[in-house]
Amino acid sequence: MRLNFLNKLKLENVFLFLIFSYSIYIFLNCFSFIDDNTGTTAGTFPKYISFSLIIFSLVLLFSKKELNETNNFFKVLLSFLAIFIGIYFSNYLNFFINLFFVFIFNSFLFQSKNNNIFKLLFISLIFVASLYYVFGVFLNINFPGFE
Amino acid sequence: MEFFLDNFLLGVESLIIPFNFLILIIGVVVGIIIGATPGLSPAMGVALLIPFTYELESIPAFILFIAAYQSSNYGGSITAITINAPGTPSSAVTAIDGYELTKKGKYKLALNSALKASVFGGLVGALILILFAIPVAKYAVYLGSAEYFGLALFGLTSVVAFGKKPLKALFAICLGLILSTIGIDRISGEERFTFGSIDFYDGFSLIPVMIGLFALGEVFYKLEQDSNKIKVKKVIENITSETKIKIKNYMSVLVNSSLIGTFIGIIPGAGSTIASFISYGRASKKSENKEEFGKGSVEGICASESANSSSVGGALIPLLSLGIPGSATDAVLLGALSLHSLVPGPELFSANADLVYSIFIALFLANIFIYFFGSIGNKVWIKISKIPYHILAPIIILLCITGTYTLKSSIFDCYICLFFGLVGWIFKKFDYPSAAVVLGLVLGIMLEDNLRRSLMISGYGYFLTRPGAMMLIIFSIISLIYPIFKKIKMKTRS
Repeated sequence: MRLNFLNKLKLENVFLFLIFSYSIYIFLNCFSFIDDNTGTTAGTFPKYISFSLIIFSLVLLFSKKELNETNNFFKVLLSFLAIFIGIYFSNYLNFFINLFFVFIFNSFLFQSKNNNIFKLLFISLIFVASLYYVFGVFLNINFPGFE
Repeated sequence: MEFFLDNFLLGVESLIIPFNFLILIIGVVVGIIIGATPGLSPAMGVALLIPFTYELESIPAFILFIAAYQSSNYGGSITAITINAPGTPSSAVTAIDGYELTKKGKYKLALNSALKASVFGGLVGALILILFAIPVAKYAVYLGSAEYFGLALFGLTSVVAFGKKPLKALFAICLGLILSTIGIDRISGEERFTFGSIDFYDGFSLIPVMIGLFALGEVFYKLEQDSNKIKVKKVIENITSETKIKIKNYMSVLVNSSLIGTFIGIIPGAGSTIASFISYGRASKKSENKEEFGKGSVEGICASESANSSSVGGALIPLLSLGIPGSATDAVLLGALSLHSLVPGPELFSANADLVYSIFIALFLANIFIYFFGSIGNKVWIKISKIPYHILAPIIILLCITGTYTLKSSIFDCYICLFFGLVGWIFKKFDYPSAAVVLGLVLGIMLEDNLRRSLMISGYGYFLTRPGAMMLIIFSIISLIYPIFKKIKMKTRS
């Protein structure tokens, strides 16, 4: 299977996506995120966000370069890894931000057409926010990264 | 009789409450969407609904599950008929004749047949559930540890006997049995295979394992299979005036298939897919219009749909009265019961009679609502089923992770879910039955505990004094040997 979408994905779109996710992170960070270890907000997030974004962009670029030559078996492993990283970083980073990355990355893996990236970001954001409101607010369940 | 009527009224009372009634409608609608969406099975759908019921009381929670379970069995037929993409495994049989009718421009007739047959089968299943679950539960009071051991053993071995690939089913069961031994020994209190980790002390929680196996495993499988190959074909517009069937013309096939479906539903591990195939096979042999089967036979649709719908009621009989799940979805329901601190069996019928009777009535009402929503909303369901998989798959993944986490607020459970997602994918890839692992895990605990209790009472000789248990053990041995004989017979024939 050829991932045409990833081939056609322009570098500026990747950067736009990174900036977009970064600003969402800051937005969430300002209002809700408090680091469990230090109890601070502003001091701790750059390390985690930069780390996770570096990993995410590496995986994204890696997929873009390599996925064409590989079979779908490799895509399953990538999806598995993305979910694993998402769960692992829930210990350090806001749970729902990890979910957002997992959504985006898996969506990339599944699509073959040149779909609208902003539409995808919008859907993922709406869905993750709904999940937060259903489980975090309505059902009042404590998630990592939230007080 | 008075006890029955009192509890029946209690059940009706529960359903009259506007909130519960609304939950029932939501369950039916969500179930149809689950069923109509290729890639979402009833077991997966019910497993994903569990996290949403944490804050609900047990009655509305189970009304939701039952309504979704029953309606998802119908939902699968919509896409099977219109776009030849069965939403559920059991509706694959419906696609044989349903899609042929669609190609001839009679998709409305096919959908109407499937809807009426589903509702008919569902009502028969619900009726048999009410008639038999209560006597079975009453009888279950007299069962001792030896009989429960026999039942668990028969439940496991029947998966081998009825499975398409007995050796693979046996392997999956054994894996489930091994997994069931992990954790603190419930009798001696010793640690078993915990690797010193406190996370393993309670063994594997059922819900993360099932979400992983059925939901994540399916997503991984679809990813590898290239989900984009599922092309949605255009529905041919109706060009004939014949759009509805008359139930009385198909009464014989509907009654027979519903009874077959209910009976097969009772057998652990058999499930709605086998019920559909057997009913279809029987109907094609007995029908006066044999030549129409496979070319667009309404009778074929009626046979498969009524059987898979009625199997729901049948499968609930051993689940509620004995705690033995009849299918993968019932195993999920068993996990949900334990999550709501409910123990299936005779006690459930006495201590939580209101819940049991609410389930009975919910199953009845769900079928009526299926008819209503099925009649008016086919076009809507088809549109919903066209959600692109690159959106649907991440939604399922996120629901899996969040749902698993919310169970015990445990990140470790998320890893378990992910691990079993990988196991589910490998199983699906190599055609091993994932449901058998869950049955092994669920029934393994029942099997081991009751065997050890029996041995503590009077050693192996105890079984000889219990004819019921001995009979079940003999049936179990026959179930194990049966596939071997079947193979030998097939070889000698060929």
